[in-house]
Amino acid sequence: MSLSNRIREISKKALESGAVAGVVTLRKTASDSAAHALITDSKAIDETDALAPYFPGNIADFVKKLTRIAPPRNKILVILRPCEMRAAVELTKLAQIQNENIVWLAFDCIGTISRDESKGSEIPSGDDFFAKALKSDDSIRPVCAGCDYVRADTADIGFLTFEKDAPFIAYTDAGKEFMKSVGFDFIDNAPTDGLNTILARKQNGKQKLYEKLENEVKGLDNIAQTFAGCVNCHNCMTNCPICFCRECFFESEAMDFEGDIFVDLAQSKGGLRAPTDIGLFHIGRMSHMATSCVGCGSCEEACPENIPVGQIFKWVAENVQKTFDYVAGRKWDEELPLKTFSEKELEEVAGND
Amino acid sequence: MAKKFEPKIVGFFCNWCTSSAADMAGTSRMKYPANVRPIRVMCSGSVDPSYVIRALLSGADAVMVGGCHPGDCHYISGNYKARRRIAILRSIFDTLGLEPDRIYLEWISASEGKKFVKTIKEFTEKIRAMGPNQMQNRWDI
Repeated sequence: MSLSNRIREISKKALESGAVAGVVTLRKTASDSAAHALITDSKAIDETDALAPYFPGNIADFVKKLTRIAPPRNKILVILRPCEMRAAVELTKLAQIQNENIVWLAFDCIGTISRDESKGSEIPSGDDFFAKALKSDDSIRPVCAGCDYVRADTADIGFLTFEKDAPFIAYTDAGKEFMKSVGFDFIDNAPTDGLNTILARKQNGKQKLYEKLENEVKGLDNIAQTFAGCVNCHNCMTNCPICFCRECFFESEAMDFEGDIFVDLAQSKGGLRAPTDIGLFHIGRMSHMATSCVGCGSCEEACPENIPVGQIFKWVAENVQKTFDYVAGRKWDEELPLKTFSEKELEEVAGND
Repeated sequence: MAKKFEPKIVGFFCNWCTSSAADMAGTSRMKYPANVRPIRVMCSGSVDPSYVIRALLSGADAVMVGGCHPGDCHYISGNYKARRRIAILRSIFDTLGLEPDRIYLEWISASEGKKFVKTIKEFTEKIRAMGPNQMQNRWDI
């Protein structure tokens, strides 16, 4: 049975056996695209392709909506990518997801194609894409080519698509219970042969990506040029799974001033760009969410001006997180860097006494 | 003749320590450079990084945040949080190649009028040596 069919099979069994009341996964739409969908009828599973190389946004964003007010009474199976799993872990820590009745199934992910690129043609099937992409990163999104977090062991169940025979693994008791209830075989210890091959390639890809950004984005002139096309639509923020504030500071009245203040600013800066505060928005947003950014590139996919905002945020966030020896979404029990502190730390920023 | 460069420094000073230190420097008739524009805040931990970014984009040559020494925060841990926020900001500026040294955090207690004067003098000279912040001349960012 193909990789995609095995995911479909497990989804169907889960719904038919009553192990879960719903499955959240990628479902083909009428046009040449796909959307995340909550599916309760096992017949609709035939229209899903969890592994298809399509990223309509970070699925954790939907789980946030699904569980924020009250989580569903019955279990829901969520099939997702490692970057989405990391976002789910961060959102749970940020008290935006209540994960009691969610069964997380994360598959080893090789990346996706950008939505722009796949427009006008049919999305490749997950199986075809995996067969091709396991060999090269040619057609995938830059953030995916530079992603070295391709397996999420924070999920309840893993689908180890990089390994021989692609086994399922149960990481948690809830995962074991689920696998038994649907009657699927699973293993307890993850093999890493396939993973290591992919990781070596991805780490190389990441290095190349960051070298490119060092050359093209670093420095004031480059930054001004990179963000020059920004139309201030805030799509990047709206589509960011981590940006959860109901009211964004950058959309608040704190951005409004009396006319004379704008005139003063224009006088001192040699003019004032409209829309205003492009630099403040992007750098400010980094300062607010970089500790939890998972580098999924949802922002970049949503940008109408093709600004490489996802690549830049991934790069900046990785360095910020390194400061605190933190990786967003890597572990359930790691404290958010802004929720904790140590009395003796960061002496290079300000002394310890 | 070109005008001598006088750095403009925005200071976010904690109400309970650095702001009082500035008062003490004043009442003790100690002189310090007039380059700093102090803004009194209730805690260094209340300084959102976006205020610092806004200042640097709008014409400040540097931003200094003054807070209570570790262990002395009026709100117990605001200064530790400020240190983490400034660390995040400096890391972002460093990655983007935007002169993180224009962002400075120092602990100055209410009794340290002398340290306040010394800090302002030294930081002003450091920024003078760095030259004007180029961000303030960009209309496009």
